[in-house]
Amino acid sequence: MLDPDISAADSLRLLSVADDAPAGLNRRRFLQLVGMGVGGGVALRGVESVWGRGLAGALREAWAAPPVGPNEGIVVLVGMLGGNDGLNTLVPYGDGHYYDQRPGVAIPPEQVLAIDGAVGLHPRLGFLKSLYDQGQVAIVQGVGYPNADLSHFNSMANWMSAQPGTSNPTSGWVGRWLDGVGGSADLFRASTVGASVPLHMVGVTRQASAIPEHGFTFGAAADVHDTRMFDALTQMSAGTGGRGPWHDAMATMLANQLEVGRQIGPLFTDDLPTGTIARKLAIAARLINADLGMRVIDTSFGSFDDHAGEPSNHAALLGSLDDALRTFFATLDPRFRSRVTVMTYSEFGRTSFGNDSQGTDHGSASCHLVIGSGVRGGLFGAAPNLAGLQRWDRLGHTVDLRSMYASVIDGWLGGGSSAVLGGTFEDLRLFSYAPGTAPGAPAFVASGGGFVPLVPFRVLDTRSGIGAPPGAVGAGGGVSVGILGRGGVPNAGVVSVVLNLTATDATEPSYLTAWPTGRPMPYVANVHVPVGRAVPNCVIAEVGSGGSVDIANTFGATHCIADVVGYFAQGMPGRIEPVTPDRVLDTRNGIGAPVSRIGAGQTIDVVVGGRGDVPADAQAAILNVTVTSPSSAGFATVWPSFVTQPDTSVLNFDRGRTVANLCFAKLGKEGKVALFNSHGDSDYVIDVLGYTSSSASARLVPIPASKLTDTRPGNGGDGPLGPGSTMPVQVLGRGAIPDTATGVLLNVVVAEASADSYLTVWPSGEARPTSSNINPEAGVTSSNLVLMKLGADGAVDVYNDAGSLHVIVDAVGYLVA
Amino acid sequence: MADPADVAHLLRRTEFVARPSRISALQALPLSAAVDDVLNVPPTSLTIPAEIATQQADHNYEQFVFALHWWLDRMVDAPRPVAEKMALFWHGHFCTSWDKVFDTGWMMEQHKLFRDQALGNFRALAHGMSQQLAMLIYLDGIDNHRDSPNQNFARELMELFVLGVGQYSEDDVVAAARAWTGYGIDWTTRTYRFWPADHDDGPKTFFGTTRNWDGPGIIDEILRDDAAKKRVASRFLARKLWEFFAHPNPPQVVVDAIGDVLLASDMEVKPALRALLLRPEFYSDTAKTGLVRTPVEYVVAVHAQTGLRCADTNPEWTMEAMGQMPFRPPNVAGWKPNRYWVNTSAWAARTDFARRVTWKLREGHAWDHLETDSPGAAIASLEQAFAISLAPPTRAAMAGFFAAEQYWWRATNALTMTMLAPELHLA
Repeated sequence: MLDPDISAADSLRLLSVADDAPAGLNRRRFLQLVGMGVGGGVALRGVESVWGRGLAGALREAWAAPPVGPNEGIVVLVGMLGGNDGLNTLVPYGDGHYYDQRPGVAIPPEQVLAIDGAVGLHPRLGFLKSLYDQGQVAIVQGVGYPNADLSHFNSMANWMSAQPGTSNPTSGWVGRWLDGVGGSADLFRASTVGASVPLHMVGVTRQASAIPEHGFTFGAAADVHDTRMFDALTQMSAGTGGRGPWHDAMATMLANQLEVGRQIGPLFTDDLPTGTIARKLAIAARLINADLGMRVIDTSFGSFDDHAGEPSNHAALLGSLDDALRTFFATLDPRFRSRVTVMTYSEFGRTSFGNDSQGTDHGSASCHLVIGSGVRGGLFGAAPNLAGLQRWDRLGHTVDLRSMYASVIDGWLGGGSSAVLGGTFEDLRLFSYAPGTAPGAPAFVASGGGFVPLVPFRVLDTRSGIGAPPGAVGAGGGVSVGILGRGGVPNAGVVSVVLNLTATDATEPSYLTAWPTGRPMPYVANVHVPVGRAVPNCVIAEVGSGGSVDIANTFGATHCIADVVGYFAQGMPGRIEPVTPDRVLDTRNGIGAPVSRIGAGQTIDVVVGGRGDVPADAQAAILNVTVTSPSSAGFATVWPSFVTQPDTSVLNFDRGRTVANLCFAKLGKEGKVALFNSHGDSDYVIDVLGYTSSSASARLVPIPASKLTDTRPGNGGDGPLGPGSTMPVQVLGRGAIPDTATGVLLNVVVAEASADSYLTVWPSGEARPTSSNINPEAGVTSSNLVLMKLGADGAVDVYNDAGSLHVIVDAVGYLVA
Repeated sequence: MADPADVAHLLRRTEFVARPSRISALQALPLSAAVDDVLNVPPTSLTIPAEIATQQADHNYEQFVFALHWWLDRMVDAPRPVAEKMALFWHGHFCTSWDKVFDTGWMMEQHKLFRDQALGNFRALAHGMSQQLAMLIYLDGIDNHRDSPNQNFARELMELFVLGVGQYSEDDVVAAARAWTGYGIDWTTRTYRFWPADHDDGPKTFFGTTRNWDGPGIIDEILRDDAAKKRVASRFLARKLWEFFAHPNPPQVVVDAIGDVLLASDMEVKPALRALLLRPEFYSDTAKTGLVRTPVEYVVAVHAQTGLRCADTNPEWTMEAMGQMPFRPPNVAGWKPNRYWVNTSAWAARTDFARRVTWKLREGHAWDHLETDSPGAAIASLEQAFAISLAPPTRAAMAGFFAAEQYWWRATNALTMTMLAPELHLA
């Protein structure tokens, strides 16, 4: 019997009811919603003017929650109903007990998507794995509660109420959080996508609204006749019926339903996915994008109650979740991306032992997922201990579910966990960033092999029709860009290509994603672009089928420009050597060139090879190129000196703005690069961070983004970095970085800068060089990639020049011989 | 002479709607005689239509829809439908779902048990349901083997069917699961069969007694032999009956009184239900306003009051979103009352259904008079047709609507509004 056990599939719906009074649905609340206060109903009924023309337009405004603030978090819950098997989600494939205890159910080790030598994800969680590799997934192991209950219903009640052991709980943790949120409206503060409101979304005084997954439009008036009907139906709740609380509650619910229909009807279009969780999460993303003020959205699916036929059932469900998460993040407007966290729940895990039906039975503790760009990726809690277990033994919990909730409430929902949970629980510190501050995905995808630099060549410019027909790339649109066999890139052996990817002329805030052709689109935001600015970024992209890289835009329409500056290929000698940063050009004070701004259309040569630590035979240099105080918008090009100037750009800039970008630059004769300034006049600064040559020894290895430091006190930091201050950042011994690493690729983010400043990163233990890596503007969050040699103690130092600012440093790759 | 309001309440709760013919027949009687009239339905043996008596694998969904229409229409057609109401109760109590059983014929076998023994003996029903193919599949009895017990049925039997949470230990679940090993299906004849070789006949300790327990012995121990457990079970069922017919959270005195009747009759349901329907608390305002019509009750009421049939309204399209689809309960705990149905999403499905019914009603001309009736006359005719009395805010809203609207929309939208008025949704 492959059918899921529907008996447990929707235990959530069982818990959708409090059997007692219709709390939260009463007339008092309704009148508060319409802004009239208790007692206002009498006046409402008697006021002729609201009839026919007023009620809808004037009063419904009161229903709308205020928009979600730029630093307010949004949580999307994914219920895995029926009891998800944590041991087949995060698979302990390094543990022989796992295979001994569940033959026929265990995932073969070669199928596991390995995280490390001990654990890996289920093979159908490929997208989740890609997010994990980007440091955006926290996997909390061993989540449960004391005296685990094996009943679907009791255990789900414990999870939803967050009051384990309470018999017949009447409120849930999200509901009680909702009780404490200010503002008068709650229809759109929290919603569940489904047919009923589950217990965790019910508070003492408030509850979430329910939005059916098939949508509805009853309430969205098409003409005056609809309006008359809807207004009359709404007026049925304008005063108590005197028939008991349920009569009034139903009248109120009718008015609420009309309002929800009016607001959300337009979100339901024919192109929504049809699978349960895919559809629900797509709706959740649209609800967020609609900016109705949603802070918590609940979704769920199942059944995970795999007493029998688990291998196929469970794979299908996890696969549908993986696909649904991909759809969710692809649908989510980038302006909300750094404000959204997804978290799973399930009533329990399953027995470590399999049964005779290729299934597992009700268990206790299990692992859960917390996903988002603000999340501190990695494994949390203790791994389950399978040694010595017997058939009916259950796994002990090591993390209290209230601790997971507290971490999310305090880390992402604005705090107040002790009031919601009735006690203080350990903060697991699941977040690296506060809501709204994450930099988006790191720009680093894949590499390997030796680096071969090229004279940059343009493979895509949608403004002029290079590589694609002229015209901006629309929302969801993309282009395949042929890489192999062009501009000196060979037809074989290429692992990845180094691009300078630029987005410009965006009609809406959007982002570009680059990935290998023929593979599913990952959620990687390689370039975030606001309206009205051109933003470049260095991207190392794997090359896919047909020798191509796909580049897609997500929202609005955006022009895309891509320049190839080199590639990594197997068997090639181009190893990398990081160096202490060395300033090779500063036109403001005569380093590398006379003191003179570079004028419109002017080119200068800059000596890089054979200078400082860079040998004369270096083939390429890793440069940080900075333009400062340009008098006009324009662009800069860097290429090997003494060859024809290519039609490419390393930097695009706006008037007055200081912008830096990491650049892999092929060196020309005499170790020189040429630098061209297109418009206006500008000062330029170039720092060399490393080089490639036949004598260099290190290769670049990508890793999941790994947090090295975060100065914000809410994230464990000691406070902002002050003016003229230096902060050490230990690299060796952290995350996946081996002790033999000689350099590191960092994604450095600066937030909350109080003044315009610059940051310098250099190997610790050495004198601070006169270089810079990132140029924050006061009040603007900015980021850049930094390739850096490690100091003798395996650390780098970070210096801030002016004002105070917060620094967040992630390692996204390392150099090793 | 019973109070007409009490009679109407009695009928709404036991027969889905208070039909005028039934009110006039019962209100001349003392209340106890009226209750007896409701309960003393002749014993029947349901004949399952050939269309759904056995599974036709390539028409599985069509068979499900047939079964749904057949039962919902029967709730409307039955002259004295208390057995249909109790069959709905047992369906929500000894839950199985077509979603997992996936065989309409086997769902019908179980339905026939619930319907034929609707007012029968609780213990006999428990024994009967334990051997039904639908239950053996739904709670994994067929996967409960001597060498690898599956606890699903043993656990839910005690938690949800006869005792309630907290009345047994994990060890009792383990023992009961072993006792139920070997009760399965003969797939060649597609019938229930006990497989002795797959039954664990070793000693098991259940509720403190060690012996070679078997499955039926577990039910008999709880519902016959262990006086303390039988008492717990009597309260468990009494509470659930009260919550189904009267209101949630019954006073303990009511639960004890009905439970005592169950014990005195050795778990016969009809005397207990009679005692329930004669309790003064059943006629309190709390009870009369204490239940929201379930989707089944709402659909049946609308059909009964408009003359439409399932074939006209296709409730299979809207009932799942309302939150209740017969033969497809959401989980083994069945459906819960009140707040479960009152949310924006479930309400949207009721608006869908009301709209659908409206179009069907407007295909004829019976309601054309609403286009021109005075507001008072229009409201009166709607109240009579739908057997409701509008509360003041609803009446004011309807009156305002009739004063403002005209022509086709006046009749059409008034019908929808009546079917959405809270009065029609109170059980």
